[in-house]
Amino acid sequence: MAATPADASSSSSEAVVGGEKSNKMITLISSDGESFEATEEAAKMSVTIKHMIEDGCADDGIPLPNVPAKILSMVIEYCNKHAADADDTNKHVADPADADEDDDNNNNNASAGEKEDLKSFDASLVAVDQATLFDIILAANFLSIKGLLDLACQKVADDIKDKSVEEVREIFKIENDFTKEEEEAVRKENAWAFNE
Amino acid sequence: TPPPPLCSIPLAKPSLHLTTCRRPRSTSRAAMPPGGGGEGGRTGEQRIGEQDHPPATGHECRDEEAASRSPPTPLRPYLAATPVASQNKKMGREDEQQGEEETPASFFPEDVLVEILSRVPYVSLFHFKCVSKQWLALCSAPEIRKRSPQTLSGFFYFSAGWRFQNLSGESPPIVDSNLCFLRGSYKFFSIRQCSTSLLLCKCWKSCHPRQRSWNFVPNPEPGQCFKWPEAKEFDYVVCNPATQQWTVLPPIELPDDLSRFSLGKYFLSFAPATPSRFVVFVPLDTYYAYGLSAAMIYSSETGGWTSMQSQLDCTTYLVSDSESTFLNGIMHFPTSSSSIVTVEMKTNAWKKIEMPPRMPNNYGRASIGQSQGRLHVWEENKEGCQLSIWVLENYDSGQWTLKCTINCFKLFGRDCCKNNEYYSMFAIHPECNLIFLADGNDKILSYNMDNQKVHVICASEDFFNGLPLCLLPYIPCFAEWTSNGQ
Repeated sequence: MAATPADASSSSSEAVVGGEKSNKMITLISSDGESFEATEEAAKMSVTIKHMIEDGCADDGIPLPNVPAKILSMVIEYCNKHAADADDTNKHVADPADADEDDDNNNNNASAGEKEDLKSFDASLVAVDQATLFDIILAANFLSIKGLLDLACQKVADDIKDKSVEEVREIFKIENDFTKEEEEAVRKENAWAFNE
Repeated sequence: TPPPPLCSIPLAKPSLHLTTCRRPRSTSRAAMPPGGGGEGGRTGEQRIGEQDHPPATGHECRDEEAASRSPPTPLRPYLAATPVASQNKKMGREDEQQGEEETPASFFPEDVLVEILSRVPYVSLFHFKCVSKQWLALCSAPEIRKRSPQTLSGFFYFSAGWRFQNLSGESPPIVDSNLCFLRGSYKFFSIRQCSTSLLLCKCWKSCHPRQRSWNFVPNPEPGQCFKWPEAKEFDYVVCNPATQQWTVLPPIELPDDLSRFSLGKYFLSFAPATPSRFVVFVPLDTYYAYGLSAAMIYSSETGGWTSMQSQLDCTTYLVSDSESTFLNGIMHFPTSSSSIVTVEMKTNAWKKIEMPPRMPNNYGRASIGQSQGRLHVWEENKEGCQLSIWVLENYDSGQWTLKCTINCFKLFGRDCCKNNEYYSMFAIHPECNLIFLADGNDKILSYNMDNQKVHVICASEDFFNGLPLCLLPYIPCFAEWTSNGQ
C-alpha cells in the first residue's frame, strides 16, 4: 500500500482491513508535518516504532522530527515491501494491502520470482543521489530498521570503496584533522594499499 | 657423530591455556608469549596483540544497541551514540540546518560509520585511514577488519620459526603464525602449504631436535648433525589460523587394488566461496607406471578418503614443489610437461589444459594462480631476463593471452640473469593486477601491471635470517566450520 499523506489533523484510523491479522494503521508524522499511514506490521519493522507501539505511545500518531517527508515515504515503502518477508516465522502475512499486485496473492515465503522482485526493488530504492541515501541511512538508524540500514550502508560502501581519500572527505564532509606530517606518515605506512 | 642433544625445551607457559581447538576469536587475540628467545630483538613481527587503537566509542553489536535503544526524545535522538569530538563541532551546524532542504548530515554517528566501513573491502580500509583521525582509528579496529570482505593480506614464511608478514608492511601481523591453538596437542609443527585461507601443517607429538621452543628452530651450526627418529610420526592437520579451528586428517589406507602405490605430496584446496569445506588431493606414485595414474582425495564433508583412478594418459607428472589452484570447483595442477591437470571435484572428471606455447621453457617451471576469476600462468624466462604472465581469458576455449612481460631490471634494478640470481614471482593478487615477487636477496616487492609501479614491501633487514625463500600468500577467512574440528 503506497504511503499516502493525510491531513495532519486526522487522527489515526483504526480500520481493521481484513485478512487474518488485524492490520491496525499507524500514523507517522514527518519532520515537516506530513502524515503517513502504514500498517502496524510494516511499521513494526522499525524497532523504535515497535517499542513505541508496545508502550502505548502510538495512538495519536508518531512524530518523527528527524525524518523529512520524502525520506519517510521511502522508508515506509521499504517496510511495506519487506513486511511480508520480515519474519521467517511469520509465514502467512496475507496483507490485503498488497493484493492489488497480481502475484502477491500467494504472499507467504516469497518464491524465487518474488525474491528477485525484492532485490530489484531494494536496488532501485537506494539508487538515489548521495544526499538522499545518507538521509535514508540516518532514518534507518534512528528507526532501527536493520534491513534498510544494511542495504543502504552496503550501497554507500560500494560507492566509496574505490574513491580517493579526498573524495571521501568531500562526500562525508569530514575535516582533515591530520597535520601534513601525520597524514604523510599514515600514507607511508600503508603505501602498498595506495598503489602509487 | 656427537649424540643428539637432550630435547629439553623450555616451553614458555602460555598465558592462554588452550586445551581445545575451537576458541572464540576474541580471546585468542590476547597477548601471546613470544615464539622464542633469540629473535634478535626484532619482536615486531611476533607480537600478535591488538596494537591497533580501539576507536573512541565502542562498537557493540549493532543489533543489541538498536534493540535496547529507548524510545527517542523529540530532538535528534539518533545522537544517542556518544559523539566524538569532531562531531561535536558539527552538531552546532546541524542545529541551524534543521528542517532545511539541503545536503544532508555532515556526519554520521560512529556506529553507522562502522556499518559502512565493515562493508568496504579490506584494502580500501587502508586507504581510508588517511581520511581523518577518527577514520584511522575505525579502519584499524580489528572488529571492522574482520568483518570486511577479505583479500590477500600477507604471507607466511619460515625464519627460525613460522612467521607472518603483512602485505601492508605494518606490524603487528594480522594473524598469529604461532598457531598456538595446536600446542595443546602437539609439540612441533611445520606449515607445508597455504591454500588461500587454510594451512596444511605437519604436526608432531615429539619435539624436533633443534627446536628451542614451540615455534622457534634456529639454523643449525655448521657441522651440527641431528637424528630425529620420530621424524615420520606426524599428523597432517588442516587449520584456519583466523578462526583457530583445526582438524586432523585421518591416515590414508590404500585400498587393495592400489597397494603397489605410494603417497605423493598432499595438496590442499580451499575456495573462499565455500568456506566450510576443503579438499586434500594426494597423487599416488608407483614404479610400475609413469605419470599420474591414481590419487586419494579427502573431503571435509565426508571426513574420509576415497580413491580415484586417473583418466589421463601416462605422460603427466605433477610438479611436486608447486601448489594447486582452485578455481570454479576445479583443482588445477601444473605439470612438468606443458600442461595443467585439472580435477573437477564434483564430477571427478580429469582433464588437461595446454599451457601457452613454449611453456615451460628451459627453466622448466611454470607457476599457476588465479586472479579476478581467471587462471593465470607465469614463468621466468632466461632470454632477455623476463617474466611472462599469461591469462586464460576464455576457460572453455583454452586460449591464452599474454597479459604482461616484465623485464627483471625494471623489477629489481639489476639484471638477475646475468648474475644467475634467483628470483620468483610467488603470488598474483586475487582481485587486481598486482603481482608479488621475491628477489632471493634483499627485497620482497609488488608490481602493479596496470601502472608498472614497483613497491617494496619489505627488505631482508626486516627478517631475522635474511630473506625467506618460501612465501605462502594468505587471505584471512573468518567463516567458522560448523561440524568439523576436534
